[in-house]
Amino acid sequence: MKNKDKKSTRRSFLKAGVAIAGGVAATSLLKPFNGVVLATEMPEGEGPWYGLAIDIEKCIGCGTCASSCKLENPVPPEPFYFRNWVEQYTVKNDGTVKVESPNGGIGGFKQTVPEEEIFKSFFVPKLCNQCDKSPCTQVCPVGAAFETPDGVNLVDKSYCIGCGYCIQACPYGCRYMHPTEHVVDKCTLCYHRIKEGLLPVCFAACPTHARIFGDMRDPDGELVQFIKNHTCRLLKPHLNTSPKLYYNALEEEVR
Amino acid sequence: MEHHFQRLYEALSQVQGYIYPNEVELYWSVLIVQYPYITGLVAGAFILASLERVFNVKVLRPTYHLALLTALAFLLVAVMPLVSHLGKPFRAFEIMMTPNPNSAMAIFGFVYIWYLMVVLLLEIWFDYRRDMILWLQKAKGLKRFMYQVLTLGSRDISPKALRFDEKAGYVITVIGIPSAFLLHGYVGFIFGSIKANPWWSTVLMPVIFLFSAMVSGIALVMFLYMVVSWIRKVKIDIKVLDTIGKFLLYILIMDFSLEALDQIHRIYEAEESFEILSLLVNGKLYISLFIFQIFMGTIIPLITLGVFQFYKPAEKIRRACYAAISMLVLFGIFYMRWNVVIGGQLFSKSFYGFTIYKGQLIGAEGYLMAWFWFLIPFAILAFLLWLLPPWKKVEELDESSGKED
Amino acid sequence: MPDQVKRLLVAFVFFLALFFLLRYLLIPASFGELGHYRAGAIDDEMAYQTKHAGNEACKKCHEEEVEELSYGFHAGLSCEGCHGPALRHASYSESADPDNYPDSLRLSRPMEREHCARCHDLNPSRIKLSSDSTDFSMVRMVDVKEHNHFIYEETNEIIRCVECHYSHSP
Ligand code: HEC
Ligand code: HEC
Ligand code: HEC
Ligand code: HEC
Repeated sequence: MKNKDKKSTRRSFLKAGVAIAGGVAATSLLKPFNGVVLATEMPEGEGPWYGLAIDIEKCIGCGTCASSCKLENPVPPEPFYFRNWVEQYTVKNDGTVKVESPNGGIGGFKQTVPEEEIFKSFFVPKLCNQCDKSPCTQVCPVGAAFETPDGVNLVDKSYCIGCGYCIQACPYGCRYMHPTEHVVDKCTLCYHRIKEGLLPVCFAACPTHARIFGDMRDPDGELVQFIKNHTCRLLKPHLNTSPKLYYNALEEEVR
Repeated sequence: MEHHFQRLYEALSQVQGYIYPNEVELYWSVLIVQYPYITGLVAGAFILASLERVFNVKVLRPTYHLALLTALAFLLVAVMPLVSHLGKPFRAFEIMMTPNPNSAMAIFGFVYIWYLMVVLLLEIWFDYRRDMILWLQKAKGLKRFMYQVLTLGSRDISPKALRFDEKAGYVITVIGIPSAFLLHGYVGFIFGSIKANPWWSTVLMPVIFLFSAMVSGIALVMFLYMVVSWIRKVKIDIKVLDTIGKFLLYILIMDFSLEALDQIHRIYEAEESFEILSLLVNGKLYISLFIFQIFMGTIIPLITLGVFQFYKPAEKIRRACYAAISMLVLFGIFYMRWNVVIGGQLFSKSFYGFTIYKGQLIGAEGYLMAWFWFLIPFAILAFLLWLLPPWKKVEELDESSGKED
Repeated sequence: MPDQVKRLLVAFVFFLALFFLLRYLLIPASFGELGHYRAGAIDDEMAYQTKHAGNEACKKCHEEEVEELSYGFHAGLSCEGCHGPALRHASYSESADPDNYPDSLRLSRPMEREHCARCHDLNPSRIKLSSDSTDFSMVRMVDVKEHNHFIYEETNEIIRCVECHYSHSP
């Protein structure tokens, strides 16, 4: 009696298991999980959906991206406001990490750690990650921070109330309060340029082509090919902000 | 502007380790500390009033209306630090016009309006309607005019109407308790939901904010009760103080346990951000956290109130102790807000370094401004007490009409 | 309904009506067309004028430099990375006459050693290439403090990189 009971429960358990597995398989067939390569689920729609990639191995830390950004855009020249900057990471032999970014890297870097103490060292250019699940647009109380249909996070400067909540919400420190306009400012991915078919100015200025800008919807485009062929990582992936900025050769120390 | 940059260069020279270049400036200054502090006082004062009404704690009767008016006085000012801190204060209305449904801050506008218009004002209105009609007959000048406007022209003081007032007030109080919880839990959520900031991002944040709000609100009413009695030269009822003290003790214990739980949890989990946070707590926040918030604002009141439960010294000593405790608690809770708001911005989100916060005395974000917004509610309260003096309310009707149902 | 409630209701209806009226008047026209934001903000952003022209734009007047640059080691560099934003400079059409060229449109000629050092100075953070490497996408480093570093006795000035290397085709 008991045995039979067990069997039947086991069978029904198996049945249920198969049903669940089948269901999962069916739904995954219906909606293939494409989140692995691109780490973001692309929204439905037409037209471009912009993304970016940075090849850390190629960055020479010249700071041309940071300086050209400040020259192109209405970013105050003072060293507290950046849409775009470069960090120099130095891991010492004793395991400690030293990070520097004097004036955001404008004017280049000097390595201050003696060479024999260095375990490894590299540059990491930073800019707005243009997150798909962007925490900054999520928290904007009035709808002044928004994501355009082509995937660029912008600030509506004539509507921003300057509460600074988005500055707190951005995990990457990419936003600042403009000291004279009193509204929040951030990287626009040179929206005025990309819509005219030009590259964002920091991408155009890079001497070593360490920065790649492109359309994530174009499978043969340089960007998607780059992401495909390199081991790309995202910044702070555990926060699930779905950045669209992919770093090749990103090290663990980078935050 | 020059002066502003000067200060930032100074801050830049004092940065420790590495911070993102945009993090040199702390965007949420002492005014944003003020904002949860004042909202907390509102919620706390209201909850104390509700305790009396819903749970029928008769001893607290003398503080009931005082607590309500205190809540109102502070609520009227609660958003002012926030608005005056905005980069574009004149665009503040947008938060009501096009609230972003995904934003924790946007919904605050509505929670605030709900609490102000539907809970506090209505409750006070029903409470005072009869008295305003009675006072109207004797009052002159401005007072008379105010009563005329505030009664909305209603003149009905038949027992039936009064019974309705009482019932409506009761219902609103019952609605009001969750609303007060909402109001302040919500403020906690504004911080607790920022996943980018490990110092803020904890599910306990709304609960902690709520309990610390109750602590501060109760302490404030206790303090005000003593001050108002002293000004009116009436005797302070020590039973009232003892009862409030008891409530304060219970809630203080809860508050302290929750905060301890939060910290223990952090320490035990020791996530990625642990190193920087422990440096923060043991460094830049040492005085404001361990000395001000925990020792002065929590431990001393806890011990004193705890002792009073078993051993009651002479009335005079107790009175002095209660006065001291209420001020200590108010001071401690202010620093609790400080530690959350300022502390959360002192460390870099890169977890590699610290910036510094140098407050200013004057200016739109200075300490004087913060003091201004803290003192204004007391002026409003004085006005409210002049307009709606709780001690002149006609009490006896309550017994006959209100408690039947 | 008790009298006082009626009066309250009137007050509430008044406030609500006021609120909706304000809402109607104050919400910007294009708000909500594309999402919870002012669609016009996208056009505002697009209306911003760029300040960089790009290497192609220089061809019209500086064909030589552009050619030189594109064949040399500095092929990947943008003119404006060294000379600064040049859109206004490049769109000044009467400028064919170099004698009347307005000074305000002149660009910088970065000739200091530091300018080259920005990219070429020894720095352990840069990937070091072996001397026979053929990867010309990566920068070659020299120790700017050592490499052909000598001081002119007459003027007491340090020799500049551009005296031996031609910036556009080093
Ligand atoms: C590596 C930085 C660098 C880049 C890239 C660069 N230049 Fe130059 N350029 C210089 C320097 C340095 C000088 C002045 C020193 C010299 O004459 O050698 C100069 C001088 C010039 C001059 C003045 C020449 C003269 O004879 O008076 C022109 C015109 C010019 N550059 C155009 C361009 C154009 C066009 C491009 C892009 C195709 C370009 N440059 C790219 C560094 C650069
Ligand atoms: C419409 C023609 C025109 C275009 C296009 C143009 N330039 Fe020039 N450029 C001139 C003239 C004219 C001079 C002045 C030459 C002189 O003074 O000898 C000049 C001079 C320069 C100089 C020398 C420094 C100075 O200002 O005297 C530089 C560097 C330069 N141009 C860079 C550029 C770059 C980079 C571009 C591309 C973005 C560019 N130019 C596009 C006409 C042009
Ligand atoms: C914006 C960065 C940048 C600046 C500024 C710059 N260079 Fe270069 N340089 C490069 C890159 C990239 C290469 C190509 C890779 C390589 O061959 O090293 C290069 C190549 C060279 C080479 C050829 C090295 C070889 O392979 O033999 C020389 C020489 C040179 N640069 C000299 C200069 C001088 C002199 C200056 C200052 C006028 C200068 N560079 C400014 C980026 C720069
Ligand atoms: C006195 C002339 C002279 C001066 C000044 C000079 N160089 Fe050179 N440079 C040379 C010669 C010659 C070579 C090729 C031989 C060699 O590798 O040393 C060279 C090679 C280079 C190389 C290629 C190195 C390699 O590994 O292939 C770079 C990069 C370079 N120089 C950059 C600079 C920079 C940057 C400056 C200014 C700080 C500068 N040079 C100043 C003459 C000079």
